[in-house]
Amino acid sequence: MKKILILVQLLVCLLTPTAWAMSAVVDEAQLLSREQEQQLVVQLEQLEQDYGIKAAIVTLPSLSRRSIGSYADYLIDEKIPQGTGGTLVLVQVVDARKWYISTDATLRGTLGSAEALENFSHVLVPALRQGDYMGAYTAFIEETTYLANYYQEGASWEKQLGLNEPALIFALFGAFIIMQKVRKSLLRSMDNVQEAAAADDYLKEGSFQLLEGRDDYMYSNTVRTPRRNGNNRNGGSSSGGHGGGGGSY
Amino acid sequence: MANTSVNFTCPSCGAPLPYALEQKQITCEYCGTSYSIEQLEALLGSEQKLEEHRTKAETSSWKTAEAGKEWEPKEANNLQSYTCSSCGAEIVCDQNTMATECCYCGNPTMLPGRFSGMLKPDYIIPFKKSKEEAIAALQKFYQGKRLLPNDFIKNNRVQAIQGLYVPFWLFDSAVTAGAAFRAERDSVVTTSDYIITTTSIFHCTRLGKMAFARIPVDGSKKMDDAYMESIEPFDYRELEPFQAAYLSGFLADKYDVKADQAVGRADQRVTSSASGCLASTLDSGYNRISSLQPCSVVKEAGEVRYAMVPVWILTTRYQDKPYTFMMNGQTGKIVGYLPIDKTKLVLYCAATFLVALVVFYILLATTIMA
Repeated sequence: MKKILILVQLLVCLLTPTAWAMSAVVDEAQLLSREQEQQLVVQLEQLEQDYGIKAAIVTLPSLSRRSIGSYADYLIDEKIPQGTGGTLVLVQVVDARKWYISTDATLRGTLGSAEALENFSHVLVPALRQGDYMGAYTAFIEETTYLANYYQEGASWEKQLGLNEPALIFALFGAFIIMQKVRKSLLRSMDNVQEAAAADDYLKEGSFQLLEGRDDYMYSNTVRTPRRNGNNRNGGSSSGGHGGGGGSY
Repeated sequence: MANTSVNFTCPSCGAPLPYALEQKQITCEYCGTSYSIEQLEALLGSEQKLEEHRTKAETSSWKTAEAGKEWEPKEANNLQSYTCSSCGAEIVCDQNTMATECCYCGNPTMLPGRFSGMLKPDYIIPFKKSKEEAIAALQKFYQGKRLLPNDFIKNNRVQAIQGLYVPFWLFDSAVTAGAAFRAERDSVVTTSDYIITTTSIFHCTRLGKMAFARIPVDGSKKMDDAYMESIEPFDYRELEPFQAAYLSGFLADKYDVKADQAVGRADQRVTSSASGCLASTLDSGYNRISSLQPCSVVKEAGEVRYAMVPVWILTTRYQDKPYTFMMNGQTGKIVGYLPIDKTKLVLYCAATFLVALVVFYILLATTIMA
C-alpha cells in the first residue's frame, strides 16, 4: 500500500513539473532519520553559501519505467531552483541499487565531467554497498565541496594566465597540421614536373580484352571487437546540456 | 606412413604445407589456416599458367632495329651540328639556322661541326605554337607563384626561349598480360556485444590482351625524362612523315639513347598500364586489392619508330643553378621547376601557423568552456 502511495506521489510529481517546490533532501525511500535529513540540509546550504552551488539528494524506493538518468535530468530542469554557481542532484533508486548524479550546463565541464564522476563513484559506492546511506550522502557533499574548490582554484589560475591548456595544446597541433598542408601546397605550386608511370594515354581504345579470370576463395579471418555499451556506468556528459552519470552499487 | 610427396605453400603465411594423399583438409602448422585440397590444386593450376606466361614474357622483345632510316646525302649536306663547350650537348640544325646558346645549360659558346652519326627520323610532329605564344605562356606560368624570388623574373631571359625538336622512340605493341592479385572482402555483423568483422581472402588471376600505340620514350640523355613525360601527351593525328624542311628555323637534338636502350622505360610503362587494366576487372565488391607478383607482359608485335617532337625550351640560371622550362610545341602544355625564396616560405608558414593557432584556440576554448 505504501509503495502504491509513493508511486502515485511520484506520478503526480512527474505530471505537474512546476507545482512541487523541492527540498534539498527528498528521502522518499525512508533511508534517513529526521535529524540526519536536517544535518544534510545544513551541509547543502553551506555548500550553496560557499560556492553558489545548489545541490539536492533524492532517494526513491523504485522508479517504474523511466530511466534514473532522465529522471535526474528532469529534476535539474524542472524541480531544483537554479544556483548561481550551478545545480547538482544525487538520485538513488533503492530497488534497482542505482545512483545517478546530474548537473546543469554550468557544472557540465567540472562536477559533471567524467573525471569528477570517477571521484564521486569512489566515495559513494563503498558506503552505499554497506548500507551506510548517511555516510554516502555526507561523502557526496564533501566531495562536491572539494571538487568545487578544486575547479574554482583551477579556473582562477587559468584566468590569471588567460589560457585554456587543453585548448592550447589542440590548437597548436591543429595549427601545425594546417601549416604543413599550406607549406606542401606552396611547394607543389613551384614544380609541376612529374614522371608518367603508366602508358594509359597510349592504350588503344577498345583494345583491352579479358582472356581469363579466376577468383579462388582461400580462407577467412574473423575479428570480434567489443561494443562500447556503458550498461554499468555512463560517464562524462549526457544530452540536453546536462553533465554527470551514474552506476550500480 | 603418410605419403608427403607433394608440397604446397600456405597462401596465408607462405610456410610449407606437407599433406597426405588421403587427407581432404590441410591445416597450416604455422598460422593454423585450413584449406581443402581442391582449393590448393586450383591455386597451383593458375600459378603454373602464370609462370608459363612469365617465361614467355622474358623472351618477347621490341623490334628496335627497324626504327629510323638513313639520310639522303643531299639532306645530310644541308645539316650541321653544334656542340656545347660546357655540357657537351650536340644540337643539329639546317645551314640557315644557328645555335646561339645551349638549350640545356644556357652556355653561349656553341662549336660548329660536321653533321654525322644520326638516323633519319621516321616521323615528325611540326611546331604548332609560335615563339610569341611560348613567351606569353611562360610569363603566365610565373604568375601567382607566391614563393618565386622577386629578382628571378627580372633577370629571366624569356626572349631566349628556343624551339627544339626532341628525338623520341615510339613503341607500338599488342600485348598479352597476366597478373595475380590478393583480394579481401569484409562482411560486418553487429550483435549487442560485438562487432564481428569477417575478412574473406581470394587469390585472383587475370590474363588479358590489349594494344598500345606509340608510347614515347625520349632519346636524349640531356633531356630529363621527367620533363618530357610531363609535357605529354602529343596528338599523333598530326604526326607527319619526316622531311628535313621541318627543321628550318628550329634546332634538333641528336639522340644519344639508342632504341634498345629506351626499351626498359617503355616496358615499365606498358607493365604499369597492363597491371592497372587487369586490376580494373576485379570485382568492385572487394575492399582491398594488392598485387601478388609483377605483371608479366608478352609483346606480340613490338614495333619501334623514330620521331621528332616539338618543344620550346628555356634554361636560365638563378644563383648559379640552372632552371629549365619546357613547353609542348604542339599542345602548349608548360612544365618547369621554379626557384624558391626561403624567406617567403618561412613567412607564409609562420603567418599560417599563427592565424590557424588563434582560430583553433578560440573555437576550442569556446567549446570546452561551453
